[in-house]
Amino acid sequence: MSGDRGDTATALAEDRCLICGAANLFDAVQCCDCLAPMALVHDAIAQERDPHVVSVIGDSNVGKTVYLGFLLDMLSRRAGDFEAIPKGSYSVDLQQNVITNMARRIFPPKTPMEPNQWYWAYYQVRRREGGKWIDLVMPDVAGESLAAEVAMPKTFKVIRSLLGRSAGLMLVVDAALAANGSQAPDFFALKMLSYIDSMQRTSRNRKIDTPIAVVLCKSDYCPECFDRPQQFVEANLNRMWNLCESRFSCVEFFGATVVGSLGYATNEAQDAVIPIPLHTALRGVLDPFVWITEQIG
Amino acid sequence: MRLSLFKRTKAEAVIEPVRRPRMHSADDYQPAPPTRFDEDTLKRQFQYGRYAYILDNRKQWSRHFEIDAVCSAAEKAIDEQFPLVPDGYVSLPQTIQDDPGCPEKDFQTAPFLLARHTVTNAEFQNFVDGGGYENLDLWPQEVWPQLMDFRDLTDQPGPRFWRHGRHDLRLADHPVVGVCWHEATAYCRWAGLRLPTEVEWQMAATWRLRTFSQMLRRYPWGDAFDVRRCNVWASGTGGTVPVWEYSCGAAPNGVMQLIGNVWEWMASDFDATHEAGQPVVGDMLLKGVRGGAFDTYFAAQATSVFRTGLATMTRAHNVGFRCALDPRLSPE
Amino acid sequence: MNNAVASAVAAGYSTGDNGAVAFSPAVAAQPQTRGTLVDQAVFTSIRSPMGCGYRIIAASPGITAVEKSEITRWSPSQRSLCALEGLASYRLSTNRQVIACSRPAGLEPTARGGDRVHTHVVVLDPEDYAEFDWNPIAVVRATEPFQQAPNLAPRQDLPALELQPAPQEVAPIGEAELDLTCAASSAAMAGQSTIALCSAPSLNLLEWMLLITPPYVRRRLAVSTGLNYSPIRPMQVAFVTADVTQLRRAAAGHAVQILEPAACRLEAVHPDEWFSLVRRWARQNRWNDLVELLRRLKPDVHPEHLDALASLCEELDFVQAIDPIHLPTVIQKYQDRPTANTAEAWLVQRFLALAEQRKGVSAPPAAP
Repeated sequence: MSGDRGDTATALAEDRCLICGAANLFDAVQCCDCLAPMALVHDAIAQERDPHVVSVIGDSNVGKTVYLGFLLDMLSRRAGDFEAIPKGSYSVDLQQNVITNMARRIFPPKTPMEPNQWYWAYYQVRRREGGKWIDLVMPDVAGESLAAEVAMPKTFKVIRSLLGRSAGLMLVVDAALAANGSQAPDFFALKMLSYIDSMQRTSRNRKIDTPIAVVLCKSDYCPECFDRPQQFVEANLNRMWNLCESRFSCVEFFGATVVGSLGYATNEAQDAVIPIPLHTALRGVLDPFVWITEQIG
Repeated sequence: MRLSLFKRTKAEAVIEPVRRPRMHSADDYQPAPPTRFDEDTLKRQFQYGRYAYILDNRKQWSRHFEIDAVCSAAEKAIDEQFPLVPDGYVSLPQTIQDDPGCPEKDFQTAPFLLARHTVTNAEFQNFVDGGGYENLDLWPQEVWPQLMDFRDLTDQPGPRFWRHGRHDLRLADHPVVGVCWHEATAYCRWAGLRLPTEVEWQMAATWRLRTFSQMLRRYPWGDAFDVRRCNVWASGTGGTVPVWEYSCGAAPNGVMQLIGNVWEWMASDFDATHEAGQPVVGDMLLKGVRGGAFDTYFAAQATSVFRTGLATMTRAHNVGFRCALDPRLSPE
Repeated sequence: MNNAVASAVAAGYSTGDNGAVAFSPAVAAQPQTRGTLVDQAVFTSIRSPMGCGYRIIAASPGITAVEKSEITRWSPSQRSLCALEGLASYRLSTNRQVIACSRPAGLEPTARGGDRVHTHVVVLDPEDYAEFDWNPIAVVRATEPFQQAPNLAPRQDLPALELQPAPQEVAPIGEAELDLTCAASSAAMAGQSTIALCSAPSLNLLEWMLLITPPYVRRRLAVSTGLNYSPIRPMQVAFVTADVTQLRRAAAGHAVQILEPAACRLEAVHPDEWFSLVRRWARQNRWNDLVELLRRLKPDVHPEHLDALASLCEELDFVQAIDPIHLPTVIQKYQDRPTANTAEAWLVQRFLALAEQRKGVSAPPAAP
């Protein structure tokens, strides 16, 4: 699904967007069509590797921003023997936003729906012992924009372009909600995967081979997600499980958690409840990424 | 009974290198073999490690011919395993935004004894083998309905991650985890001990004595974070380590791993407030936990003064506990 | 009261008591017995069994799925307001007009990053929009009786709203703000997309910009005020307050110009005579005259007609001072003059009426 070397060279010559391929003015900071940063193109041509887009997708408030921010920061700190280099200072904005807020026990601000406000990260990563470099572009998109595009295709063209360009997907699902009996995570995942299925236009006889890592986040509420994630999904997200089995050939399930303990406080006006991440306890954050890079590499 | 105020070994001078992650697969779980316990009840209690319990209930065995010897041995064991934390004073941050200048409350602390190590899997096995989960006297009545939830992976009474009521032999000297606050408290009650309060724990970690210098240690070993002295995320282990490792990170009196490895349950409620002044609450009552764990990402969350809380019923993979004891006067 | 003002009053110009200028929509000669039925929707962030986050939470049945999709794309989400109140007006692909009013509405349900944005959306058919003189602020005012506070728990199926165009009042604006609105209006007439930087974006500022733009242009304009600039909302005119460096960066490559207040005075605006007239009457506090003139601008007034209208207004002012012996010549000149639009015809009528009045006043008394 990702572009080849030729796409990148062509992109530079015509200032074409790396995500949607639209032509842009030379001084454009964001694509005129999908609003992806044009810096992706400018940074990509300097490399000898073609960037793979790995999209982190999921419903609103599921924890995509926090997950991706910590993942990028962990890579920067050489977790899992990875060596990671950010390309362009814009690539560090997301992790800085997340880490700065979480260190102060505040969840980062809600990701706006407007694509020009999204964070994009372009990283070069490799396993330090004999691994080859791969370039990854990972955007942090708003869950509501995903939901709107899934509900009515072409509402946010950038989403369609992004998913079409993605070499791998991390579908983040709220395991805590699912464990509590809510059907919303299952329905969202079902719609999301159905959208991807219809976008691919693969024949009924062939399964889609895009690697999809299903990340069961907030698994601190239901530690079964770490021990037996597949069984958890089959039991609590059965619709998604069935669709994965039918239409996708490369799916893996992971439990993950970032927050060790969640507290609550009311605001001054006492008309709202503020969730507070009391301390961090990272678990399972890197595993989905390791798996995806193995599938892509 | 002599109290060991300071305990330093030559090994403390060595700063241990950062370790590679060690993963214990669930597939090759090695259940600890059953321990053969003495039929004599007094000796059995000693085998269990219930030293304080023996001393508290000495009269129960007053006619036992070995009571003096056993009590002497129990005192010696307590001397060895429970260094003294001297009196001092502590400032507890009152808000969750614990930046410099945040509101604090001062407390004075009396001397007390704090376990050198967190409770290990092997030690907790004694509690399980001794019928701790079946002895309702150890559990408050409001917890009795939840007792059936305190089961391991094979539905036997025991910490969450055990199997068939046995710990993994390879983790015998690792801190016991997967126990909630109630289980920790029950163990302490069974052993004749108690959980430390947040104030006591912070005193042990900061070592803030009433001297002219008024030193406040950010860490038990000093003021600078050192990834080689504690097991946190940056150490790269990815899991718990034996309780005797990282001796170079011990407090002046030899209490080890106050920082890192596992969070430790406190006796105190978690009573911090938000910056707007509103209390911070959880889905259920929050008890204090201190010290950070092997998966604590931020160094600032693994210090002597960082306060956080966990729901009492949480049986997490990174939370253990250590015991405390009030000093006893020697019979002579 | 001087002669000019007296003449103006005699000619039917309205006056205001408090400095605000009162005017009625151009076609509202008689109060309407039946209101205009419009569709409505609410776009905001709530937590419900159906989901969490920004989306259309309620809508009247007349809004189609395609329209909902477009409204979702155009509507502001978290941290999109740069003023206490925001307004957006744009045309959908179905040719219907959206007027969306956004306000803060308490903490967002997940309590992350500030106040939630609540947007009440009204959708009008083109002919209904014409009843409001293609003025979105007039539509907003007509909805005010229905909007006491942001509604966070509306029925999923909202009823259509019955709106009545009502007499409006517009507060005068300062010289710098007027320069900005003139520059923005000029750019709009030239087909140039513009971000107008100001310290306090307001509905009043936007309304003046729309009023001085003939309906022929403004009926198709996508405009906003109080909303942060985003290329996902391709407004032709947007009044914002923002850091100019960041704004330049955001707008780079999107064929949109940024108007800064300091530069507006020097900005070349076209049609120049028209905007010179607007500025001069504002400086002279002739707000009522200005509004009455603007009220007469109908869709048959094109941008190229505006200079001629400005010239006529100039001559209307001078008809009081002209030497009476020239009156017959002047009257003759304007009597047979062809007019390009209704506004010009109205001005010519006013001119002739004043001229005849002066002629009658200055005629020598009849011999006894």
